[in-house]
Amino acid sequence: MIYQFAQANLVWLIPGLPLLGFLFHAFLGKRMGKSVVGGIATAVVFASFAISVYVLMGLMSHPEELRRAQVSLLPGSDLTPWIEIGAFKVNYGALIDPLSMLMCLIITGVGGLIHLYAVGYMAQDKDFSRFFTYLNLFIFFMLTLVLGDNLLLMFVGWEGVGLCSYLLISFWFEDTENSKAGNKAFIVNRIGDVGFALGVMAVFATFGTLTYHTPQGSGFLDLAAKGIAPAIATAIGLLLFVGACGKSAQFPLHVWLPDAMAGPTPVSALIHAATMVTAGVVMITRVSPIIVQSPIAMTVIAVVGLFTAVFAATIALTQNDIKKVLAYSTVSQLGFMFLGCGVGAFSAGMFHVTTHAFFKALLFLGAGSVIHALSGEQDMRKMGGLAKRIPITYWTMVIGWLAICGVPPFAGFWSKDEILGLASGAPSWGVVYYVVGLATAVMTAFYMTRLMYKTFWTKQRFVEAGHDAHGHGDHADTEPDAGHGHGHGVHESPPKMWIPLAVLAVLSAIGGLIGTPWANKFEHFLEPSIAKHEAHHLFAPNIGLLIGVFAAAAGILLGRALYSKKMETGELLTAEEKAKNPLYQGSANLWYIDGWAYRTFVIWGGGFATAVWQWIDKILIDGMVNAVAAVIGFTSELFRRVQTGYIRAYAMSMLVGVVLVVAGLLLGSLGKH
Amino acid sequence: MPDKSVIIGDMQAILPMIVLWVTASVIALGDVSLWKRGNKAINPLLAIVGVLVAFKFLVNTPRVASGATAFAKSLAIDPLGQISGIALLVTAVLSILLAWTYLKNRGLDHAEYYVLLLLSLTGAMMMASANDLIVLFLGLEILSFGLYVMAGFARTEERSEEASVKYFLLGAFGSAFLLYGIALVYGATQSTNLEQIRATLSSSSGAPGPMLLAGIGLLIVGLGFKAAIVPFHQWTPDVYEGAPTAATAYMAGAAKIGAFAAMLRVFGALTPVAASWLPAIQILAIVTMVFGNLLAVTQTNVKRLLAYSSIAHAGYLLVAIAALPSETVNGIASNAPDLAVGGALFYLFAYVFMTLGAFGVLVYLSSKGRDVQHVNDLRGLAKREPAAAYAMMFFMLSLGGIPPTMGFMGKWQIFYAAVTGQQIMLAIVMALTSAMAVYYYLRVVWVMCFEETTEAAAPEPVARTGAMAAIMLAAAATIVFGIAPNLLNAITGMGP
Amino acid sequence: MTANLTHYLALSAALFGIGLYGVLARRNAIAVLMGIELMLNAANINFLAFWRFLAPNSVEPQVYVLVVLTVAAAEAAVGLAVVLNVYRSFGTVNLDEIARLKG
Repeated sequence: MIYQFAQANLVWLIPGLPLLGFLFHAFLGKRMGKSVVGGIATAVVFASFAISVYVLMGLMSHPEELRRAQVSLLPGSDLTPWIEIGAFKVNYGALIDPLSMLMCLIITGVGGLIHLYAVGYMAQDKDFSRFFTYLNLFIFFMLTLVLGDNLLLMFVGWEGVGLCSYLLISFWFEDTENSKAGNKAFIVNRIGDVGFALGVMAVFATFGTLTYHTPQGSGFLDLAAKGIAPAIATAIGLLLFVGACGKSAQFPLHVWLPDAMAGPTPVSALIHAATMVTAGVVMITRVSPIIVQSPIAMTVIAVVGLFTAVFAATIALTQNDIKKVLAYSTVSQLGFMFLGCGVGAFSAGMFHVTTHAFFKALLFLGAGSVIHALSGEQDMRKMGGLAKRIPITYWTMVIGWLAICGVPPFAGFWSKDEILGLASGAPSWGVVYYVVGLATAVMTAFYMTRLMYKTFWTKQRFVEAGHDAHGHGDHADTEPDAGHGHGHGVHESPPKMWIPLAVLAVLSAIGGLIGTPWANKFEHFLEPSIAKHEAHHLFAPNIGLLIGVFAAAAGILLGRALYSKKMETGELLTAEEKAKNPLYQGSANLWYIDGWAYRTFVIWGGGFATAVWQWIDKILIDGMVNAVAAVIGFTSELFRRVQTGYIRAYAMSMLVGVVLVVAGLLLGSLGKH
Repeated sequence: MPDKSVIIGDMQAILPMIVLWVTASVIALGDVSLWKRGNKAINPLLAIVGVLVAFKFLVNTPRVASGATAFAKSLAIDPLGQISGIALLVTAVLSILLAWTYLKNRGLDHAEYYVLLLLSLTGAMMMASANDLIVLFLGLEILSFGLYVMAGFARTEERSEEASVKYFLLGAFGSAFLLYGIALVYGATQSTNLEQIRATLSSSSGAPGPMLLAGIGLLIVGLGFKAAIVPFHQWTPDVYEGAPTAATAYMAGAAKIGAFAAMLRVFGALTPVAASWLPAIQILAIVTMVFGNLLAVTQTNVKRLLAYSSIAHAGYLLVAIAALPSETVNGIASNAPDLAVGGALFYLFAYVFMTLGAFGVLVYLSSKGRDVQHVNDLRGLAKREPAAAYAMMFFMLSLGGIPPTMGFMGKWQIFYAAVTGQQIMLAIVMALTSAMAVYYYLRVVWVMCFEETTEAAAPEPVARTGAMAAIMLAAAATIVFGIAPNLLNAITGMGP
Repeated sequence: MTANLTHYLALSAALFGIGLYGVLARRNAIAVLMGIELMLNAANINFLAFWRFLAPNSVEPQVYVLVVLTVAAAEAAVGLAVVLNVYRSFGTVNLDEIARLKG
């Protein structure tokens, strides 16, 4: 299986170059001009991309069964041990296989484009070099996460990207709201990290090693492939999945992701859409040989993924902040990916990771361009009519919209269809997975259409910044992005920003064609990295495709039907109508409203979505996070009182300790003999 | 337990301690007779030279893998003693650098401080290689006497004096239990020599008698006091807060190393009766991890926060002690004891670098009129003092066990020992409480990076080269040994 | 009746208990110090009792007792110095008034 090849000697450069970029910015960044900093930061990531392509070509030139190599992550060809204690050894090693190379391409490719975009987006920021310092460091840790040949290196990357995410969310730290968001992200992620750490411990306790694969077949995945007890597979799978839930924002650990939108928009695109949040999917896919041996873990993953998908899509229906819509959409799409993993369609899940990286990065960057054009405005109620004002952004957003809605032949269509198709054939619950998944797809198409209407197609609802003072200073307190834009009239973004949009638009348009059901090159490509698992469709692929088209069309047409009549305001309901809805406000009589059939849907549906967000997200889960913090704080305060400062009290408690220890020892021995 | 039949020369065995003692005497006498309290820089310089010479002699002592003994088997010359000796000397170098800055800036620059530091260091080294309970007691007392006085070194400050008297009375109280415990163990085994005790315990077949059990319990208490284990920890926050920061740093490092080196050896010798004491250690470990971290959460004084953090770290180290008796697992010989010793030693090094580094940042920022210790004093530090702030960030991340720092690597090694030794429950509690700990460590980072300074005037310029050197050394070690842990093992000859 | 080991151990335990009581009950720092000295001496009685009844041919316990006495003397010296300094700062040696560091 394991094969050494010439190109692999360059692997160390893939994470090495961003690390060099980080060191350069950290030590010299402040003294350099913005063009040098931005240029170097972007160049190192693109150089990593070029090397990744080169290495991948080397890998692909070998027959399929040899496409896996364990090489050093340090310069020089021999594997260097990182930790060596007794028989236990982990290396600074990289596992080069289709999965890790795919992720390298996404991270460096999409990451490079986002770096380029950020050079334009952050041009006015006073902490320009600090921003790129963190961004390069993030790329380094992310590459470590996917490239490492053992779980411990993955853990290093895992914590590292979490730290960078924390620093970048809080980047505009003058804003307390952002700081709180950064804090929350960190706390929630710790819960996931404990799960991951315990999962690593369980792997170690079971197999005695943390290396995935070795040439001798002694890696834990090699051993697991020979068969392990289902109970052990379940324990490891579930613990690691808790970790994945934290990083990949699955219910109920998803609460941090929408809050994380407080960070600069390129950060949202890079970390909170394209790369870091997919780390959980990558990890579950990586350990797929263990996961497939536990039906329980598989079911849990599928159900949590599916629930998250539909839950987050529901919330996305009524959000008004353009980035929040995209954030909940990301949570929802991640749920789809886990659904794929849970039914054994790991390569379909990874396919969706890939296409999602294209179109969601595109949508976020497009949203950033809109926010940029409006000098920091994020509220869609204050947008509208932008289609003609910022045409490049608009047209690229249209492609992103078609891709996420699942319109053929755009990228999202193929990957979503693949997941749904394979979910339908799951041994139990297959039909439920399929129907709920399909409903989620309809909702997705609807809320994205809503976003397009509110932003681009309805009448302009904002006041030009040039005409009065509105738009910049007024929102400085409330809008996270305010004060970081240019502060003059609506304008198209500079080339540095729209070129990445255009490239991502092309990828979103045609990127899915590598994985059509008739010739699934993508699945074939990933085969060497993934455990064999029987997953099949309930019905012929072509019928699935057709249903998928209908679902997308249904969502889009529903959006069109509702919003084309509200071109003036972009609001489906007036304030009074909302006032009548029990779920919005408390009481209503639906029958007063004309056109009751779809109005019922709108009022109840919208009210339901708002209620889900208000009650479950804001009150229940946030409340739980806060309650845990409060209980810890309270207990801490309580026990601080014991620390009275009186020496004699301390001596007394020592004596109590003495009595307990000695009595415990004596009684313990009585009990035994 | 290894057979320590090799005997090396008595004087050679204690040469590092002799060097430290001689240096202390030279400083004490020189200060009153030669440079007549005039030249202030010469004291720390001499002290550092003395420590480095002692280091040279320590690493030159013959390395016998299975261990050797000296002074009629009362001192063990083995890797455990030698490596914890290295850790102690590293602590001393960092502490002297910190004291150099701190004492000068706070107007406390007296030669006696270095004399006390070197003498108590002698005691700590004796404790680390004690192969006999009475020698252990002697070393502990020598270590403690110096610390008691150092805690009260700022004689005009009430809190320093309060710290001193609290530490002294409670410390002496703890030692009394330890001594009584030693006496009872002697009564039960007719020996205070650890090897002899182990041999006696292995050969006796019956259940351990009450005298032995009570003795072991009191040993746990006495050593647990020095190591700051809950519920014998209450002195820690008060003393850490009140003592001059440089003394706190030294105390945090030296007392912890001395206590845990002694515990590793004592509980290693008590392995034959592990069934009786292991549950106590397990419970103490859990209680210590939980309460140390829990109480740290609401602290606003960085020195107190670090005190509770040091309690929590004592809990993690106890996990290693709990893995110590797992000489066989499921009937198969296991290397868990070696892993536990190796992991604990690595952790002690990590603890020294990150804790002394963190105290070092406080020392670096303190000046005559202003003793920095409240968390709000660190506001906006990233802008005012980026180098110190980023170093502090490394220390906090390392204390929190975030990779790729040394703190993470140390936790992993203890984790590894615990899993190998079948102490799964402790490993889980360790993972959970470490996660909680990140919260309060991150708050310090938070305040430094994300809050604005409230201070109007910049602190007066002061001499702080020593503190900066210590901070940079510690920060470099925290990162380098986190990335390349084998390097530390290679330097110290550590590892099973 | 001649005294046996148990009697000496009981004496030692009683002495230890008295010392303990002194530490816990007295507010005066010097008195607390005296209590601690009693506890150390209780351990010394133990050593000597064990020597006399269990290992009469060994000299070690006697050496231990001398070591402990030395340590106790040093401890008293350090302790008195510390208490003296506290008195200078606080104007009292009442331990209940020396409790400003807490929490």
